[in-house]
Amino acid sequence: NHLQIHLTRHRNILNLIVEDDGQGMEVGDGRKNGLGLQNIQERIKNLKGELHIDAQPGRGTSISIDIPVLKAKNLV
Amino acid sequence: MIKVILVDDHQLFLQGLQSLLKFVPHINILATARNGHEALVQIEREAPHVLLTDIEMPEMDGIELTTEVKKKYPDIKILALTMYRESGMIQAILRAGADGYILKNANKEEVLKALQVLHEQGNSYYSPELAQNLLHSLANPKSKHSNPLSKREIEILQFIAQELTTAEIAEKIHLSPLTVEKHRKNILLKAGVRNTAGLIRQAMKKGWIE
Repeated sequence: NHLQIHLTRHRNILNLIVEDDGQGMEVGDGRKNGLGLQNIQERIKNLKGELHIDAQPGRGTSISIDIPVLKAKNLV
Repeated sequence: MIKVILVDDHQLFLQGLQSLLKFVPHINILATARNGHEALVQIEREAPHVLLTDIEMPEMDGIELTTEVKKKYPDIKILALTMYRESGMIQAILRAGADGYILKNANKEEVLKALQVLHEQGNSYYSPELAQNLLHSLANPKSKHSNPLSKREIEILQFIAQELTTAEIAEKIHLSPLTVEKHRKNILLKAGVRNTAGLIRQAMKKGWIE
C-alpha cells in the first residue's frame, strides 16, 4: 500500500532507502534474482556502491543503497 | 589588530584564505591548523582573538573544537566557515557556542565584516543568506518545513526514545539491524546532532516526539 523513499546525502556517502509494505519476498542467493534486481546490482557495482535488501514474505521489502560520493569542495 | 587562527582540512582552501587576508593591515594570521586537535595546540601557543573554522574535518571537527574552545577560552570568538547551507549543521555549531557563521563562497568584504563584528563589536555575525533559514526554522518550530523526518524515521526515533537497541527495533519493524542503523545515521544527520542523547534533546525541543 505504501512506498517510502529516503535519499540522504552524508559527507562521503549518498544513501538511498526504498521500502514498501507489500508482499515481500525470499532474499535469494542472487541466481534466482530477476533481471531488474540484477540490473540494479550491476549499476551499483559500477558506482562502487553497496546494496542491502531486507525482505520476508508478507512483510514488505526494504532496499538500502550506499553510493560513495566526493565532498562538494573536493570538486572545486 | 585582530589576531586570527584559520582551521580547515583542505590545504588549498586554507592557503587561499590565508593569502586573501595576509595583506589586510588590521588582520594578523597567527597560524593555520588542519583539524581541531592541531587548532587547540595553536590556540594554546598563540592566543588568538578569533578562530575561523570549517565544520567538517577529520579527527576533531568544528563542532567539537567549538565546544572545547568555549570551555577553555570563553573569550575567543568563533566564526564557522563552511559550504553547508543545511540548517542542522548551522544550529549544531551555534549550539556548541560559535559566534557566527558564513559560507565559504562569501567574498573578502564579508569575511572582514564578520571578523570586525565579532572582535570589535563583540556581536554575533550570521551570513544574511543563512539568517533567513535560521529565522524560518525558529519561527516555525513545528512546521512541516522543520521536520525533515519521514514516517519511518519518526517511528524509529520513537523506539530510540524508548531506549530500544538497534537489534530490538529491527525485530519490531521486521528490518535487519543494518537497515535500522542506516536510518539511525540518516536521522542524526537530519537533526544535526552527533549522538542519541543530542537526538532526543533535539527531537523533544522540535516537537518531533512527545
